[in-house]
Amino acid sequence: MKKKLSRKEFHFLTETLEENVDRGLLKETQKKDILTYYEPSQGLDFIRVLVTIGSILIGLGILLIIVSNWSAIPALGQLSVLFFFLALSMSISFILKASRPITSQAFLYLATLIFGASLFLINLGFNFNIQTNTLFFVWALGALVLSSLQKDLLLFLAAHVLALLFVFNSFDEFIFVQLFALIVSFFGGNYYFNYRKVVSFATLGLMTFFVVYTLNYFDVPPPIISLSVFTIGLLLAHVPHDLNRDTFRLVGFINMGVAGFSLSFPNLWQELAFIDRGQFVSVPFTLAFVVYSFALVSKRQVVPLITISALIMRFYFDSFFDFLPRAAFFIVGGLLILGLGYWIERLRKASEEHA
Amino acid sequence: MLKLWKHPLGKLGISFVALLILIGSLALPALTVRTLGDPVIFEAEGFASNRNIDGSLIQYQLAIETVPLDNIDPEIIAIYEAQQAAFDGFGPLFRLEGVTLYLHISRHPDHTVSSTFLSLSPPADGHYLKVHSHILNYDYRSSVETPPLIGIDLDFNLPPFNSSLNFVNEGDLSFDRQPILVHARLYRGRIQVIDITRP
Repeated sequence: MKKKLSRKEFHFLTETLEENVDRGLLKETQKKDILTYYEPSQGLDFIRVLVTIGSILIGLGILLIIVSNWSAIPALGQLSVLFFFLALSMSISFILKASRPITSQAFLYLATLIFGASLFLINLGFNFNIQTNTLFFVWALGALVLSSLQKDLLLFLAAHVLALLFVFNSFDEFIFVQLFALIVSFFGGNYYFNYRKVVSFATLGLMTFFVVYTLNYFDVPPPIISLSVFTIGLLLAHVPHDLNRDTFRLVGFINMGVAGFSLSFPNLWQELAFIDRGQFVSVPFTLAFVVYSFALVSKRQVVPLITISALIMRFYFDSFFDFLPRAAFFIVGGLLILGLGYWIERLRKASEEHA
Repeated sequence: MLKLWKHPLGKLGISFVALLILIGSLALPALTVRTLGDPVIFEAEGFASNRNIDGSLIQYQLAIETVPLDNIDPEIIAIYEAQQAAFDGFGPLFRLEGVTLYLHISRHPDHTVSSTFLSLSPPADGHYLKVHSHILNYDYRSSVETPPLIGIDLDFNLPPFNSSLNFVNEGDLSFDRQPILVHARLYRGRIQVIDITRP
């Protein structure tokens, strides 16, 4: 199949090949051979544009009729409409897979949205009284099913987001069975997607939230939860292995950054019964953490630098907000942000050059 | 099955069926309660809700909601007071949103029920109603503020799955709460309405 180029690109390619024929770098037959693999796209066809706009308008009209009469449609009718549109978008995605892969993907995403909307509308229409967190869980499973259909990476990542919403809506609920199903699916998905970095990043991030949920469920005090996340971050960043090392390190630094930031607050430590004055722990911890972060910055790591900047801003706000006149506070604060931004950018460029 | 999955059309079919099964799984809790639940009868007040089907009302307020302060788990009161202290100054409309509460229920020989206790954990005998609810710092239903009372907002939707609700229309109950008698089934904290009549 010939690759389609825009008219401008095709013209540029033809001209470049002709120039190289003139220079003697290519033969006329070679130029023709290369050009057989490309063809100019048709560009804007007036009739096609009209047909597309017309079909969109008809679609919108049908959608409007359905939406405005939704409550009047009997429950079984609502079900039929939702199933019909789900089947339609999946079928169109399947039919266009070979000829128009991008449009096919778009219809697959539409199917995922229709599936999610169906869950909420059916729950409402039949009044099943299913809680929102369960709906997000089922939606995540649906997104996993649809992502496996065309091995779609974006849908697999969307399933992570939906799983995250499920966990956020389920604090203090017993969801370990569902969590087990999700963990198995996501680790299987990592294998299915050949351990791509972005997939590993999403899965590791989600697993951190699973840990936070679990500790919270068993009423573990918040400082211990933060310390656990911090420890997980340390392990992710420093345990040597060969699988997506950079991604593990990045998630580790983010975990440590967020947990370390929260542990810089004395009030958090005071939630432990044996600690009366939180600052006796928070200050040494923060100092040690900043020294450790500087050691990482010296190895051209950007995330620890962002953490240090956030800590500087947090102490600046806490210490000077009441003490300085407002104008001076904002000017100095602004200068501090500019300075830290410049510092982060310089380190980012340096680490890129180093890489 | 694996052979079918390898065929492009088979893959599409299996995925579609899997999605339908996932959607169908939403009905399982309602069907379980209907099949395994114990019959109960209680009085409720219905009122109009935005969420309605064919003009039928779907939101009710249980008459058994009035839980005396003595019958509330001290743990709930402790949480409430801690939250109220933390948000002091936010005014009387403070709510502790989305708390999962367990209304312990006494069943009488004629299947009527009455509430006995409200707690954060279910009772051992299994007769309870699980409600996602709000805790208020006053009885919001009366216009007079009663500071020592904690209002427990037990408004929630009773699922009318397969129930005959068509005799009630929106106009009847939009403004005046009218008592209705609910015949339902109760199973592991979930409730399923079977029928509704006027007492």
